[in-house]
Amino acid sequence: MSWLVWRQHRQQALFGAATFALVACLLLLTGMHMHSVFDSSGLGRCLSGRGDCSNAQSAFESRFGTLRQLVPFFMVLPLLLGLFWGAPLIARDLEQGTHLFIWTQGVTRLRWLSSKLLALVLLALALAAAYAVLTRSSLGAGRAGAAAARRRRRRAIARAAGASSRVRLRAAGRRPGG
Amino acid sequence: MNASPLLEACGLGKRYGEQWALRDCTLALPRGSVVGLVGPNGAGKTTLLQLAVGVLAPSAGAILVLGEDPRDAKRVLPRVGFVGQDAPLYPNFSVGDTLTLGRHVNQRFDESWARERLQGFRIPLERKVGQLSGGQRAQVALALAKEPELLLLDEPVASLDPLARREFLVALLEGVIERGISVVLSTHLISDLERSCDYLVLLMASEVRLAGEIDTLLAEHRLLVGPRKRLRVGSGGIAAIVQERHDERQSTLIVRADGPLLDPACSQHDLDLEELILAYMGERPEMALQSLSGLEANG
Repeated sequence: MSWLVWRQHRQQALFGAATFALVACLLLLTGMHMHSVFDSSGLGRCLSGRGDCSNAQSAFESRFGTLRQLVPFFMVLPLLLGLFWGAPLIARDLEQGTHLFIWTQGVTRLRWLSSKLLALVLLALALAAAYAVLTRSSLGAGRAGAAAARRRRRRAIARAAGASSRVRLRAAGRRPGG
Repeated sequence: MNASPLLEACGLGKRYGEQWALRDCTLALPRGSVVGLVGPNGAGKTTLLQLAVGVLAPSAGAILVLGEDPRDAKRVLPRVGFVGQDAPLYPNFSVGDTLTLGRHVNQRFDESWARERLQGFRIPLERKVGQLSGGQRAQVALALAKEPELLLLDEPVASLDPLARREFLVALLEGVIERGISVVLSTHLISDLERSCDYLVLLMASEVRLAGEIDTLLAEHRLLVGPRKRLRVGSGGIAAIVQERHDERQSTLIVRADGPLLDPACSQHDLDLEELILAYMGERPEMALQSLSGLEANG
């Protein structure tokens, strides 16, 4: 049965894997580029300091503004995979009449359905997990940038909250970062 | 267990919504026979075959195949081969892949036998199934039908030209007789039956109209031509009148006899299978009459 699932869906699987590899390349390359610009333009240093960074920030944002238009695509990507993998899983057999063929071989319908579903669900889960890790690590602000932004926000709160609480908050902010 | 009939149906029915695709079907098909399932399109042939292979569940009554409930797939499927209408196969699989699949999804499947058989028909194993002709496809589907006790074929020759149809049926029957396989095949072409079948089931408008050994049926039915008069059922060996036609001077009847026909005024004629079937297909009288008038001219 697993042979059939592989033979019948290998094109979809290979296409899915190729799409994933393409997206991964795109995310990794742009992510690395963004990180390097974040550091080299001085924005990272500025954000971890006390000065006004709005100029550097808007320059950074306008440089990578086009990437933002891609964000909706990444949001519907899992949906597209579901459509192209999930929908034809059984519908294509019914359309071609091949369910009559495979249901009358020596394998029961339950086994046929469960092997197909299991293979698809496992593959989809694996790809989704890999995709989530990938987007988090490269499209997010990055660990250094996020930490800097977090520190800066805390400082702003602390300034407003007064001296005594400032000491406490700073200590709390440093603890997890090391 | 071998004493159980090939296929046994009792009050079997299948309903789609309000519409009965098959109703009140009661049959007992003997083992070792080649059964022809005939009837016009939409008569319920496909429904009966799909019930027999367990793809459909009956709405009424019961069906047993080789003494087992066909819904019990594990016990029945390994013993039954089924080829659906137009021989559905995965069109993007090569012939070789299709045979490999057959090995993977069947406990008993002789792949080398199937390969040899297809090579005998000069079907290239590397070609995609979607690129084969209708006849080649049917051969591949048939080669995949395991080594069954019962072979169920739904319109196996519908997509073939007359010559290929004859070749296919001859090849099918040679294989079947050699290996002692029983066959139920459906067709709407009556001429296929005479060459291949020894048992007839006629379906009309979702019901069984006639069933029996073809030789027995032919021996029982007679065409009577005589002076114009009414013949009554129950007299002179007439068990039933299938069809009657009266014109100004003479009467023409097709009757089912249960003894010697006694009326000396009538001349008796043998019927062939096509005439018999057309007589029972009362809903197409014009066709039946044409064949009758042909007979009269000959006789």
